[in-house]
Amino acid sequence: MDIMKFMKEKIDGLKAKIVRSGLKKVEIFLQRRNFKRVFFEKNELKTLNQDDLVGVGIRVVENNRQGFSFTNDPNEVFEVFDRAKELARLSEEDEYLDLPEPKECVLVEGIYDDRFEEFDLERTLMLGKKMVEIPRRVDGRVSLDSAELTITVMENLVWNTLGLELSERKTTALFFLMGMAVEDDKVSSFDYVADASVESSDLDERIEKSARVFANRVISSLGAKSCPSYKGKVLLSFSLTLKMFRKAEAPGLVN
Amino acid sequence: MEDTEELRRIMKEVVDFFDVLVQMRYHSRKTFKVSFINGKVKSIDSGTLAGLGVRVWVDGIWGFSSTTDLSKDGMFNTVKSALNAAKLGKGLKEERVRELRNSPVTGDLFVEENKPLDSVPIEEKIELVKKLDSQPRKMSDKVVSTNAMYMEMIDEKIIVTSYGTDVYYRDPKSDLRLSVVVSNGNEMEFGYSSFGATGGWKELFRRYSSDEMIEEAVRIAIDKLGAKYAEGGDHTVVLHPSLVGVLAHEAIGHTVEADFVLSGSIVKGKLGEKVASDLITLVDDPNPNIEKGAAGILLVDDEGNETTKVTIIGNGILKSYLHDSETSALFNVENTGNARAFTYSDEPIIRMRNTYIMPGESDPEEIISSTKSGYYLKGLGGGGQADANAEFMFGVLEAWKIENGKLVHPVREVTISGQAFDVLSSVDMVGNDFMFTLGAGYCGKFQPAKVDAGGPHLRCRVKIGGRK
Repeated sequence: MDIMKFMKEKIDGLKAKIVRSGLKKVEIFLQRRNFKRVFFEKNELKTLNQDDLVGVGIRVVENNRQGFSFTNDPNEVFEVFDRAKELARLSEEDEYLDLPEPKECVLVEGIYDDRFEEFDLERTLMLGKKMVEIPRRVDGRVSLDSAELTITVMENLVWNTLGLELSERKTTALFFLMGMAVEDDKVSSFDYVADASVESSDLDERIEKSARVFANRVISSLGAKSCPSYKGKVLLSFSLTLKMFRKAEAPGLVN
Repeated sequence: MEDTEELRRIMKEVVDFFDVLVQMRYHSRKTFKVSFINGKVKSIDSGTLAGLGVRVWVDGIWGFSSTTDLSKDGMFNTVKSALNAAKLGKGLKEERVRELRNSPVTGDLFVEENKPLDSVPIEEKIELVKKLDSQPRKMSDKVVSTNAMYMEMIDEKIIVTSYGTDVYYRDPKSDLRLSVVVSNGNEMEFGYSSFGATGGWKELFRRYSSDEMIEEAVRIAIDKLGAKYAEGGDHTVVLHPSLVGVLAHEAIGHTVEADFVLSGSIVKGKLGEKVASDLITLVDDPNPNIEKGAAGILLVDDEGNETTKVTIIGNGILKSYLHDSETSALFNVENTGNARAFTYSDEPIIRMRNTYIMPGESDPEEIISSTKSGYYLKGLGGGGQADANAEFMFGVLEAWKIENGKLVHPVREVTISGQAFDVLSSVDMVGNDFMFTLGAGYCGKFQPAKVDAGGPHLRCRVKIGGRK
């Protein structure tokens, strides 16, 4: 069964029901995510995984009150609409709640690479194998806890009763390596390197670079000594400085 | 329940058709979440996520595939997809076990559920969170910001495997959180309280009422306004169960997950060695009797295997790692049933359940009164990190200076660090109390998992980060 096709048929039926209901502000968001994933554990292949996932979320704004409900079951979309309506009824008023109006929309270029559509699990596996072999070639003391390469093709559609109707396709190759260096009784800090790309042309190069960075990073902390309590001058890297500011800002932003 | 019987029958038929090792898991999750920020609704939403996850094991390689198509054809296609994936990896694994170690479960499993979550009206849940968000501002004009959230997940699973699992499992979990920010015009401080449970509404409120939760969050934040800073360096500290739980889960628990051990964690090859004080017994328990309703209860794991209580450290000696069907075969030990998957489309991996240090014999008040100089530390605040070598650094939510056996004044912005096994080796008093405290939390390891952790009060030595 083409689950996306089935879901779209159900959504078409729902749109008609929404229009008949007279509700002025309803939004439907539909997402399909097709991915191929290879997962390695303790330097070896563990799992190969391919999936095609579809889900729908429905937002109802009625009398400045909002309800949201979602499902991945195409047979449940009408029920989900009813649930979102009910939650909107029970919710609290917020004068700023609204849905986006249709306006000219410029889609972001360069986030979809159709060559990823042709990536099958076998090709994903070959790339993944290359990724996990590099660190141990750089230095045999590297021990890979886990590594993953996931190729995702995603399709998003949004529709609302104000006349907005948009769709977008995205592709990503996401990968990470996690682990440490081990030599006799010495264990380095557990560390990771992760990267992602929306296009396939430089994927080999990115994977190779990340795998080397990972190997050098864990080797560099092998045998590091514990630091006694210290107050004084320190040299902070750019990334650490950024993290510190983010931490300091986070409670204020959240609240 | 009746609706699932037909599904269960078809699953068995499909699994029986194949002559390879198949794990088939139907997992339905109904969620409801309501959150308020500063008097406004942030979200009220509900949803269903349901589908089938299938794993097939061929020559040491797992093929995994998932689907929302629950028809018989859909199930067949998903098994074939997983099988094809597994076959692609043929010959690529050098160190593999010949046979997995399984302990299949059959029957229908239910946790203790007093006043089921789905029997509580949505209106009541919304009112509760609205009160949590608004009440702190009424209690003190120092409160400048609030954030409250309730979340529930009602999971239903059917697991059928080619090695004999045939089980239905209902697993309801919920959590409640409140954070407040206070200000005296010059400084801002943060307070937080939370709890989580497996079971029903009564399990969620088994220890505290919502009023107590509000008072706690506001008190923590206000106590810290104008508080002094701690003195940095190695100190004797009394840890509240909330920090004992963090230590047990983050700093020790992850290092004994067998997949992590195989990669070279600090405890690799140390079974039978002394790693902590004789007073320390640390367990990972799927269904603890010590306190009912823990958030990490797991009656069957996601490979369809029995879950067992694991003594990780027994009187200071490292006794066991945490296993799934593959690592238990590799280590030639019993499967502990620690394989968990967050949703149907996640693959089961080794995770903790309820990880805690067993109570000892000392009265918690006696632990403090017998401490000449040090700090009393409570709650995880501002996050932290633990490493493969059990080195850790955690922020502390609230702390007091101890002088001559008395809590003399609160201190703020305390961090603690050290090597977890060194810290556990320094323990000289263990309380006779007990509390689970991480129930609102989710453990992250590629995918979330609902866990719990806790313990008694204990006294030990840690490095404190302070200003002096």
